[in-house]
Amino acid sequence: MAANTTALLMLVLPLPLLLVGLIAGMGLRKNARLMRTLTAAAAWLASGCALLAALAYLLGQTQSKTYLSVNLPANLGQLALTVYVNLLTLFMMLLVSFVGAIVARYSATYMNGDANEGRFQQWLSLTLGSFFTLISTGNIWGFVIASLATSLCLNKLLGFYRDRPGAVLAARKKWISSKIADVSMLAAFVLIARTLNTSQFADFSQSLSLVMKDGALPQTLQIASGLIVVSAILKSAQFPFHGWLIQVMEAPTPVSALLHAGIIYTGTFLILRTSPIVSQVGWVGNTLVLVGLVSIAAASLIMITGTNIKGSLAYSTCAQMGFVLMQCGLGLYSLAVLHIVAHSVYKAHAFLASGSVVDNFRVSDLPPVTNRVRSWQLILGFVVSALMVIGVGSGLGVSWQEQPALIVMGIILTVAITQLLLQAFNTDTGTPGLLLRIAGLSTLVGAAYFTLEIIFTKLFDTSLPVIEVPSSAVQNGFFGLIVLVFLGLIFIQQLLLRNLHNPFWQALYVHLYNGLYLDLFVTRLVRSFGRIGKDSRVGAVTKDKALEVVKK
Amino acid sequence: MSEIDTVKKMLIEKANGACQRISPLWPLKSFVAVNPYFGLRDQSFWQADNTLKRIAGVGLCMPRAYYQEQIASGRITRADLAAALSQLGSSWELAAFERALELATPKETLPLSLMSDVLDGLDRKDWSNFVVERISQYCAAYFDDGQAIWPMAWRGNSLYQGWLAYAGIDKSPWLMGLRGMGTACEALPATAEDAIVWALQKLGLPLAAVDDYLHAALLSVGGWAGWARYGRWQAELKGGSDDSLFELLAIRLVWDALLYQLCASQELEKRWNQSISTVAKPILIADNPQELDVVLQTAFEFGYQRQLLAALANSKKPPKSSVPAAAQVVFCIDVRSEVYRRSLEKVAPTVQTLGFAGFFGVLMEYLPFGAAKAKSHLPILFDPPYRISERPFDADAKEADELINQRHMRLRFANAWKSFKTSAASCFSFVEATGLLFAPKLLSDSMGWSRPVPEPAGKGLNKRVYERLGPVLSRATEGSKASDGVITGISETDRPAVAEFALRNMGMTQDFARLVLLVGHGSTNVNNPQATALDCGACAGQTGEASARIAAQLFNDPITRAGLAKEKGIIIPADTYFIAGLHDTTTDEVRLFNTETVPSSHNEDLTQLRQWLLLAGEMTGIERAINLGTDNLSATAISADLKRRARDWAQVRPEWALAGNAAFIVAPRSRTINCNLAGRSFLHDYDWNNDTDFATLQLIMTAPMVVGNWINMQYYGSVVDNRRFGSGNKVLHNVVGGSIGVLEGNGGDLRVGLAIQSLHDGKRWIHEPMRLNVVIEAPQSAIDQVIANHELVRELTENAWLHLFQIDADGCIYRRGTDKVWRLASTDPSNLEI
Repeated sequence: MAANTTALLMLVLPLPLLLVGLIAGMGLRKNARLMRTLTAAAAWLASGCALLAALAYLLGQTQSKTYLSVNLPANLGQLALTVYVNLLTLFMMLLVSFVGAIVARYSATYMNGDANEGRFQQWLSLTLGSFFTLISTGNIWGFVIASLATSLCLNKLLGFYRDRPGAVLAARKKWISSKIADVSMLAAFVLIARTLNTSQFADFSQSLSLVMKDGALPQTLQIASGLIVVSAILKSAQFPFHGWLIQVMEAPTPVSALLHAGIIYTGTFLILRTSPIVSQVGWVGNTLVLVGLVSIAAASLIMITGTNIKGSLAYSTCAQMGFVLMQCGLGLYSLAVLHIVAHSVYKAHAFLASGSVVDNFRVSDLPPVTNRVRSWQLILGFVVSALMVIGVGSGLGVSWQEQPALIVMGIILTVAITQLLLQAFNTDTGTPGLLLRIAGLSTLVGAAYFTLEIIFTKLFDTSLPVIEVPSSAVQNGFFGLIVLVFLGLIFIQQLLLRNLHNPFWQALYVHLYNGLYLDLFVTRLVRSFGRIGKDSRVGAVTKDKALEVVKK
Repeated sequence: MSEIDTVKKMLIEKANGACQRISPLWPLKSFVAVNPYFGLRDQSFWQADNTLKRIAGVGLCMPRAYYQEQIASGRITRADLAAALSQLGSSWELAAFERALELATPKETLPLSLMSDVLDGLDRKDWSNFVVERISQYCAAYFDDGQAIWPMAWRGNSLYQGWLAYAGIDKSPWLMGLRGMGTACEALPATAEDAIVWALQKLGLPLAAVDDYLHAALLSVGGWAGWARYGRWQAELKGGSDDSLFELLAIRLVWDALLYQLCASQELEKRWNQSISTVAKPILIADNPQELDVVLQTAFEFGYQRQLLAALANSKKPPKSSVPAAAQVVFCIDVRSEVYRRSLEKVAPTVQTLGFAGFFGVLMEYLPFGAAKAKSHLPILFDPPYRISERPFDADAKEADELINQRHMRLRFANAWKSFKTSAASCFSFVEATGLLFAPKLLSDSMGWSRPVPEPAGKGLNKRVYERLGPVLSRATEGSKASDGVITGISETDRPAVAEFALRNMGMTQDFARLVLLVGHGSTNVNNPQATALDCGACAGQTGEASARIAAQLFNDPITRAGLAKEKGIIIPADTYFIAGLHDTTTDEVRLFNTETVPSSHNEDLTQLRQWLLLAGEMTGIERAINLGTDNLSATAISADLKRRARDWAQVRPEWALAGNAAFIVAPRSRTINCNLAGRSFLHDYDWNNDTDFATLQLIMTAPMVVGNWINMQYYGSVVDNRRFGSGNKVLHNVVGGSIGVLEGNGGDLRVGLAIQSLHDGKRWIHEPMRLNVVIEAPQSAIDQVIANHELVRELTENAWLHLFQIDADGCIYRRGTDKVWRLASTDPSNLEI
C-alpha cells in the first residue's frame, strides 16, 4: 500500500456529491425523492471517507499527493489537483463532512414536499462538494476555485426562496461581500505565488525561509497578508460586514446550520493555511485582535438584547468568529482550531434544534427570583474563579510564562466561570446543594478547557506555527484591552437590571437592539445597486401567487 | 358636549370597534385553535368575504384554479353547482354559469392602501414593510417572554407610552432618510386615545372610510394585534382589562400620520386623496349570488354534505343491545378519535365507545409538581373553579417536599448552565470547554435516539419519580415551596356535583360496564415550535392526560359514588372501575395509567382491553397511512414509520392533526356506528331523551360546538389566506419572545394560524376549506331555543359561519336555513337528478 491512501480517500470524498449535483442539472432534480436519497447518501459517503482517511492517517498514510498539474504563465506556479494531507486538513474534513452528513439527513425530511425540493438538494450537494474540496486542496489556485464555487452554490441556497425579497437581499449582500473577499484573496495569492515561487500551501514555510534570508518579510508578502486579512474578515462576517449572516434565516434552517457550522470558517481556514506567512507580520495579528474584539463586544451585546432565537444564534456566531480571529491574532492557532471544531458542532445543533426552544418554556414555572447581584458578590466570584482557574491550569501543567497570551485566555475563562458562580450566589435561590454543584461544574469546565488546550497544542505544534510573541508595551496594551472588554461585558450584564432605567443605558439598549443600524445602512447601499424584486405591494401579491402555485 | 368632543368620542368608538375585529393569538406553549374571523361573526359569512376582500384583498374563497380542479376531478359535480345556484337564489342557469366560468378570468383584488402603501408607490423605499418591521421589533421587545437577557426598560409602561420613549431614541427612520422623527415624536399626544384622534385628523380620513382603514391598519400588524388581544382575553376572563390592542392601533396610525407629515409633498397629497376617496365609498353587497367564487365555494360544500348526509341517512341504527358492553371507552370529540373509535369497535364489537370533550367535564387548572403557577386545563372559554396539583401519589408530605426541593435545584442548575451558555462574557469559554460534547448529541438527535432538549413535563425529575406523578383529587394546601399556598383538590362535598355534571353531559348515567376507560389525547413529536397545536384543544393546548386521570379518580372515589347515589340518583355499580389513558395521535398507541390500582377482579378485563387497544392502534395507523404517503408499506413498516415520526427532529409533518375536519355530529353513537366518517368528524355523544331540560344540549351548542367552529375556521383561514391567517413556511419558522409565536424568516409581523406544511403535503391540500357541518339529533324546537338564548350561537348559525342540520328519530335530516326555517335536506336540489 502506497503511503497516500489518505490523500486518495480525500480526493474521492467530494466526488459523489459533485456528481449528484451535476446529474441533477441534467433533469434529475424533478425527481425529489431520488434527489433527497442521493444527496443524503453522498453526504454520508463523504463522512465515511473522512473517517477512513483519518484511520489511514493513523496507520501512517500521511503523504500529500498531487494528481494533476498544469503550469500557469506569468510565474504563477501551477494549477494542481493536490490533496494536502496534514492534521488540520484531517480535522476540518472530519468535522465538516460530519456536519454535512447531519445537515443532509435533516434536509431529506425537512424539505420534503417543497415545490422546489430537487433544486434544494442539488445546490446542497454542490455546496457540500465544493466546500469539501476547499478543505482538502493543497494548491492555492485550487483553493480559489473551490472557494468561488462554494460561495456561488451557497448563494443559491441562501436565495432559495426567490419570491422572498428578504432572501434575495441577504443573498445579494453575501454575494457582494464574497466577491470582494475572493478578489482580495486572489490578489494575495498572485503576490505570494510570484514572490515565493510556489503555489502549494505545503511549500510556504520552506520558500519563506529562502526569501527571508535577512529576516525581513518582503513588501509583497506584507501586502498579501493584509489582503488575506481583508478576505478573512469579510468571509467571517465581522463587524460591520455581518448583515448577511444575520439575515440568512430567510433560508431554510439546515442552510443556516451548514453556514454557521461550516462555511463561515473559510476565512479562518484561509488564515490557518497561510499562517506561515501572516504570522510573520506583527500588525496583522494586532488587526485581527482589534477586529475580533469589536465583533465580540458589539455582537455579544446585541445578542443579549435579541428577542428571536435564530437572530440571537446568528449574532452569537458573529461574536464567536471574532473570538477565533482574535485567537489567530494572538498566535493561538491550535486554540483557534479547537474553537472552530467545538463551535461548529454546537452551532449546528443549536440551529437544527431551534424549534425546541419552546419546550424550555413549557417546563413548569419556578418561583420567581430577583436576580440582583451585589458588587461584593461579583468581586468575590471573580476572586474565587481566578483561584480556581490558576489552580486547575497549573495543576494540569499549563506553562503560563511561556505564552503570555494564555494568561489572557485564562482571564477570559475566569470571567466566564464568575458568570456561572454568580448564579449560585443569588440569595433567593442559593442553597448549599446548588452552590456545591455549580462549584463542581466550574471546576469541571476549567479542567476540560485546559485539557483540551493542552491536547490541541500538542496535536498541532508541528503543522501550525507556534509564535513566540516578544513582550512589548504594545503587546501588553492589547492584552489589557482584551481583558477590559471581557470584564466590561460581565459588568454590563450583571449590573444591567440596576441600570435598566438610566437614560444612557436605555439609549444604548435601543441602539444595540437595532443592531447599531449597521445592517440598515448596508441594506440601503445594496438596494441602490438595483431593486430587490418589485415594490412591496406587488411583492405581497407575488407571495400570494407563490402560494397559489403551491395550492395547484 | 362640543362638536369636537363628539367627533373624538365617535373616533374612539370606531377604534374600539376595530379592536373587536381582531382574534386572539395563544402562545406557542398552549397553541389552541382560534377562529381568525371571530371578530367578524356579526357579519354574515358572505358579507365578511366582501369585507376581507376590500381590506385584505383576499376573502373567504380559494383561488379560482382550485375550484376548477375540483370540478375536473369530480369533487364538485354539476348537481352541486345547480344546488348552490338554487340555494343562493342566483339568477344563473347552470349552463349559463358554466359558460361564464369558462370565460371569466379571475381578477386580482388589491388590498386597501394605508398611507405607508401609498408612499411606497411614490418613493419605492418599501415603507410598509419598514413600518411593520419597526412595530414588530418593538412589540417583540415589549412583550418578550424570556428570550432576551437584556430586557427593554419600558415594559412597565403602557404599550404606547413605551413606544413614545423607544421611538424617540430609535435612529432607524433617520437611516432610511426620514428626517425629523425625533422632534415629531416629542410633539405627539401623551395618550393613545388622543394619538388616535390626532392621527386620524392628520390623515384627513373621511368618516365613511375610518372603519375599514382602522381594520386594515390593525391587520397590517395582525399577529401582534392578536397577541395583544390574547392579553385582553386573559384579563377579561379574570374580570380585568388590557388596552395594549388599542394602543397598538394608535402606534400604527401614528406611524402613518408621521409619514404623511414628514414626507409631505404635493404628489403624495394627490395620491393619498385619490386613495382615500376609493376607500370612502365601499360597495356594500350583502350576499352576492352572482359571484362565481361564492357559487363555487357553496357547491364545494354541497359536495361534501351530499356524501355526509347520505352516509347518515343510509346508516341503519342498530337495535339497542341487551347485552351489557364488555367495556366502555370515552374519547375526546377530536376528529382523530373517530378513526380510532371505528377501529376499536371493529376489533371489539362488544366495546361501547363514546365521545366527549377531552377535559371530561372537570373544570380545573393544573399545578405541575413543584410549579409556581398553574396552567388552565379546560376549554379556553372557561375560567377554572378548581385547582388540581400534581404529586407523587404514594409519597408523604416530607418526601414530596424533598422531591420538590430537588426538582427546583435541578431546574435552577439547568438555568445557571443556560445562562453560562448564552451570556455575553461566558459563551466563548462555554464553546471551547464543552462544545465538543455536541458532536455525539448531534448524531444521537439525528438518529432519533435522544430528544434535542428534555421532555418539558419531566424536566428536573428522575424517570422513576416522574412515573409516580399524577393529579391528586384530595384537598390539600400547597406548601409555600410549591405555590402561593392556595388550596388544591376538590372538596368531598363538591365531588358529587362535579361528577354529576361530567357524567350527565357525557350521557353516562346508567348501564355502566365493568371497565370504563377515559382516553385523553396528545401528540408525541420533537423540535416542533407548534407542537401544542397537535394536543388537546379542550385541555387548553396540553395533553388530555391530567384531565382523564383526575376524572377517573373522581368516579372511582367512594365518597363521590355515595354522594351520586344518594343526592343525584346516579348509581355506579360497585364492580365498575374507571381507568385513564392517553391516545398518542402520532403513533396511535394508548397508554394506560395507574393500572396497578385496578382491582384484581378486573385483571382479565384489563388484559383483554389492552389487546384490543393494540389491534385498534395498528388498524388506525394503516388507515392514516394513506394521507402520510406510506400506504404502500406493510403494517409493521407503517407502525415503525409512525414511531420514527414521533422522534424525528426534522419532521415537519409528524401527523395531520385535525386537517380535513368538516363535520360535528351530536347524536348517540348508534346513529353513526355504520358510517366511515374518514377522520373528518367531531363526534359528541348525546341522547336528547335523557336531557329533560335540554341543559346538556345548551352546553354542547355553546361550548364544544363553538370550539369546533374555532378549529374549523382556523384551518379554513390558514388555507384560504395563509399570508394573514396562517403561519407560512415551517422551514423558515423563527421562534420569537421565548414562546410567544413564530416569525417567518428574518422578521416581519408575528405569524398566526397553521403552517403550510400542516395543511398541504407538497402535492395537494390535505385540508379542504369548508364551514363546519353541524348535525344534531334533538328536536328542532330545542335547538331553536338554544339559538334564541345565546347570541354567540345565533351569530354563528344565522350568519352562516357553520351549516346546521337536525336528525329526527327516523333518521330524516333537516337543514336550518339562514331564514331560520328547517327544510328537509333530502329535498336539497343537489339530490335531484340532473
